[in-house]
Amino acid sequence: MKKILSFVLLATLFSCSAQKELADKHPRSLSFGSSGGFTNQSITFELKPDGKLWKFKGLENDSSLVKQLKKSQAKKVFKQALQLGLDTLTLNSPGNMSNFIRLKSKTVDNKIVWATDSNEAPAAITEFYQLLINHSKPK
Amino acid sequence: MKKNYFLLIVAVMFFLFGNQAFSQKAENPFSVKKKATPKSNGPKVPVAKVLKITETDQGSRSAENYDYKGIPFRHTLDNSSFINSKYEKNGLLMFVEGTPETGADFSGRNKESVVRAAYAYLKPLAQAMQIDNVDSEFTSMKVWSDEINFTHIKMQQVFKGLKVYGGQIILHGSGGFLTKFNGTYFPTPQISALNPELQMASAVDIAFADVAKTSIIAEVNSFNIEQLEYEKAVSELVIYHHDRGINSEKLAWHITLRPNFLERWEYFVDAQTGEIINKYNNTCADGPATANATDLNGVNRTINTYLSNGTYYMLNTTLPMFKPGQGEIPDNPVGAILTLNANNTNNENITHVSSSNNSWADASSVSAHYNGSLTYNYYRNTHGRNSINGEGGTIISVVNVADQNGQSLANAYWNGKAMFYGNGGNQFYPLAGGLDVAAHEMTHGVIQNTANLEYQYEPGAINESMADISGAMVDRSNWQIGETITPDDNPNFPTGTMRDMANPHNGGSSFSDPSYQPKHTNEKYTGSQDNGGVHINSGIINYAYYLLAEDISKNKAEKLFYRALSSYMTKSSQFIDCRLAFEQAAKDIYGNNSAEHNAVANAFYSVGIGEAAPGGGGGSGSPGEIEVNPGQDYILSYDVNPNDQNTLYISSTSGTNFIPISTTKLKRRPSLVDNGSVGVMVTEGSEMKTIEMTSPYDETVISPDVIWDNVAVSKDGMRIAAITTDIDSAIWVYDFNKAQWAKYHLYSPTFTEGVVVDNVLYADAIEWDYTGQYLVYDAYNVIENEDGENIYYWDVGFVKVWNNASNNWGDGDIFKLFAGLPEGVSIGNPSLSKNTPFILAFDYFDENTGDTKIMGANLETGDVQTIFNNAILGFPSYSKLDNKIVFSANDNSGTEVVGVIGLQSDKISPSGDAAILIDVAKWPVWYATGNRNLTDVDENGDMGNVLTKAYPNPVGDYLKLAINTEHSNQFEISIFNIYGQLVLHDKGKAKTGINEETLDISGLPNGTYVVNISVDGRIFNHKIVKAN
Repeated sequence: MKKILSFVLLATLFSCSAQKELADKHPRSLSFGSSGGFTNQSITFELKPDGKLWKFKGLENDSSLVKQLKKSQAKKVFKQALQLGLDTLTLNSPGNMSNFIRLKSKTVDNKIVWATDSNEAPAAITEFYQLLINHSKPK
Repeated sequence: MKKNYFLLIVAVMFFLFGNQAFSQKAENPFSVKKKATPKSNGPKVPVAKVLKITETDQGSRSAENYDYKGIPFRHTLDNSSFINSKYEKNGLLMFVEGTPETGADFSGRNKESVVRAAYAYLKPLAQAMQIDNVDSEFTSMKVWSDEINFTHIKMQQVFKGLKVYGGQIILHGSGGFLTKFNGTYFPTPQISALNPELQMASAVDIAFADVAKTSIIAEVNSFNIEQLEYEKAVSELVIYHHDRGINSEKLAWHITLRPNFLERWEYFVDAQTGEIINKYNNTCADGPATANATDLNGVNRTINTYLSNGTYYMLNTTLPMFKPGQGEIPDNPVGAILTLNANNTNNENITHVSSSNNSWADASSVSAHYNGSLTYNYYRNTHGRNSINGEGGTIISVVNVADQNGQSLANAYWNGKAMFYGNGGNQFYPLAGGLDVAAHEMTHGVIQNTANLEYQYEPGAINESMADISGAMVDRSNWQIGETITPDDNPNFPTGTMRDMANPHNGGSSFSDPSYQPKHTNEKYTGSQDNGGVHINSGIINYAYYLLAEDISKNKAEKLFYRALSSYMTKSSQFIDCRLAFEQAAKDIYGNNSAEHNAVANAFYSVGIGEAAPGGGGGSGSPGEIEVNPGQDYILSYDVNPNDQNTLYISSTSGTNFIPISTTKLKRRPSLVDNGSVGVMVTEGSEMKTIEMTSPYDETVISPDVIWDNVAVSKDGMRIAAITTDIDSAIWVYDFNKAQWAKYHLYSPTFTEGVVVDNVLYADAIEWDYTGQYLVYDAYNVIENEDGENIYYWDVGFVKVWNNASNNWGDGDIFKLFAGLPEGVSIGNPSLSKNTPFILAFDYFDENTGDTKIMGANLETGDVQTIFNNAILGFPSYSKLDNKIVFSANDNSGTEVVGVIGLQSDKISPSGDAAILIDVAKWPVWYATGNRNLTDVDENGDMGNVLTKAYPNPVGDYLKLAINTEHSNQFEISIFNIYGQLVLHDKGKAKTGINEETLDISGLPNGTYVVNISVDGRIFNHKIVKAN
């Protein structure tokens, strides 16, 4: 499966013809976070195109606005997500505690899952995930 | 399609009892069931008290608590520059806060300026310190600054160049001024002779001669020199104050010596006389140590730590798997248990948990370290597994883990290499506090190294279940998972626990409730959330395991768990594979078709995975059965020790952990509601009372009349039935909704419609059925024999006292368990099985032979079996799973005891030998504290699903069969005679629903037969009598 992933990444990152255009996909949200463990507590962040970053905690059943990013920042994040192929990438390797990224648009709803501390996800994905987490942290 | 048990049983009983030999008559033990004369005034019975343990006030111990009065050496500090001062018991200044007007300032962190400031600080204190000259009597040892920019200087007390042993002070400052002083020291010594009469070598000889009396003296070799940096004894001339007495100063040789590799001794030898003033073993070598520390639950634990280069680490190297010489201590040990601290980060800053003095304040690390050792020992001792990886790999726990956002983590997890524990966020207590949490997480590691079950869908649910099973086996006091770390007021978990293997619904009703898990495949979650429901559908396997363990014991079940996991399951195992793995493990250990093997089959069948064991099996969840009470079960027994004022005791089902709950003396066995929350009873004084079954076990008189002989409460607690002391045939029934009594008269039905016989003298034992409509009772009867003599006997009947359909009183119809009991035979004390409404146990007595037995009867099949040959009436009570019966019995000395015997899957045949469960006790009641749905139980105990019936009975030439099946399927019919010979066989195809077949049995001679119907993988037996 790693070979397939590598191929997908290479194709999306370096092929001009395959380069995704933001306007074509109209991403509506980019969700990311972690779930699993003993309590099955999930923590989900959701970034909207308007730059609003929301946080949902599964067991607490509530949401909160954790940060307001500039629209340009949000646009950049969505663009990176598309460049990484998160609208098509297939990765479903959960572990006892897993990270995930989910990209949604009018026509796309794609979620990738990988076990934390595993090497199932390509480095580009884990780096992007860490970037997202850094965005979610309070200043 | 009501079954008429009465008609069915009549012929059976004739067959069973009709040809018994008669012998001399024995005293009928049922004669004890005589009516007692009611007392006008019952004794005042005290309600049991529960003593509460109150915390004692330990108080605080500080310098302020000491009484300074009368201490001659105290010199009060009188200087307005110092705002606070404290003194030791000996009158010496021990703490000062404030800054003298001049000299105590220092510039930067320059050591010299700090030393100068220190002397300036000490000078105004000198008198209070009883120091003649601070400049010559203190020398600087160390100057340092800490992480918050405080500067400290430690000073050693000296006298004329000699160290004053134990005299050290520290001064502290910030912002360029010294502001505090503390320390222990002695007044300026008054000793004048500072030239020792005893030379150093002589002092060392004295010390060695002394230590040789108790220790082995080994030669110093190169190993000692390298490892201990020790070549010979170290000596120093000091001023020594024995026992820190300020008047006990002596010139002494302080000698440090190592008689061997392990020991290190300190000696103080009088430098003038050679007397050994003091000595102590100061062995403190690097290596394993133990410490006592408080865990997250406030429990003091002994934990294994490790001293390395003056620092203690939370590292356990005492286990058999530890490999000394491999790896590095403390960072990379091999075969150890190591606990680390994430310091409230998402593992960006993991450090050792360490201590300079082997004291441990972080309760999370104490819990994780201790629980890690317990779980390691469980796997090693129970399963022979050597650590998580099976090869003695180091077990690592990380505590104080934050979530990825840096906030308190409401979780614990296994990341493939170690266990990580958060501090709970606002949902839970710190998760390291749960032993079952630790076992759960460590088992994820074991799974990774064995079946490596994929963490999604059914394999993922099995993965989670195996982890929960381990949690319940290591923390085996109950079936709850995570109860220690779940606050009682967490609304997501209303039962106070995250999961409950015995009750997967756990207070929830749907998947939207975080506490809810399915308990059967027909409730299975089929969505994609939670990786396909790994934390949700684990409830199904959890419940199967719970049923299995309750059936065959935890000790046996856990062997199957580990063998199934480690030997048979694979990465993609589905639920059915899980069952097969458990089955194969049972076959391996206990044999094919063993009770354990069948128990596995029935447990998984009960949750919808596969078929029941061949022969049907008695596992709960079978058609016609009530769901097993999901609560913890206990035994209520009545103490008969005359020296014990307590009467009722609650105990575990293994006859341990006795809790006295009452001192009330009773006439009869108490009766409890199905969820075990409350009981009813009649006192020796004929009062009717309730008793709460939880602390403080309140008792309440519920009837103003003092006329009662026995009482029983319905399973749902809505009605009671009672018998008075009067010798009459009445049973009184009270409905709490109606707030009315109804009186039913007992009689004996006959074969002639509309004709009854009033031969019942009075009833005694009573019990409600599961529908809340019928009472099963025993009654004392009289009939006249052919010679005109009165024959007295006890028998068992059912009376309908309530009608659920009309929600009103029942019509009082009666049918007897057996008709035509042989002369001299009595039966009584009926008690229904807990989960199969048409099975009951009762006492049997034959006064012709003296036989006293506990017997079981299946009203549906007509089977009657002897469970135990008893010496007295047994008052039997079924266990929660109907796999055991407890009863009253006598031990070899004739003392009443509570016995227990196992049952086969038919619930009426014994399995194994009986044993004494509770000494000096009688009238056991096995009960459970969970709630279950009893509303679906119909009069026959049918719960839908597959059912068969053979009728009429007795039958003529044509036998009718009714087969109700949920699936279109083949069925087979086999009829056997009483010798077990097959006399007729037929088969056909049944459609879904009720099928009626008619068999021509005209070719069979009159007699008793067993009709065997096989459908849907199950076999149903019916006894019939052909009588043309």
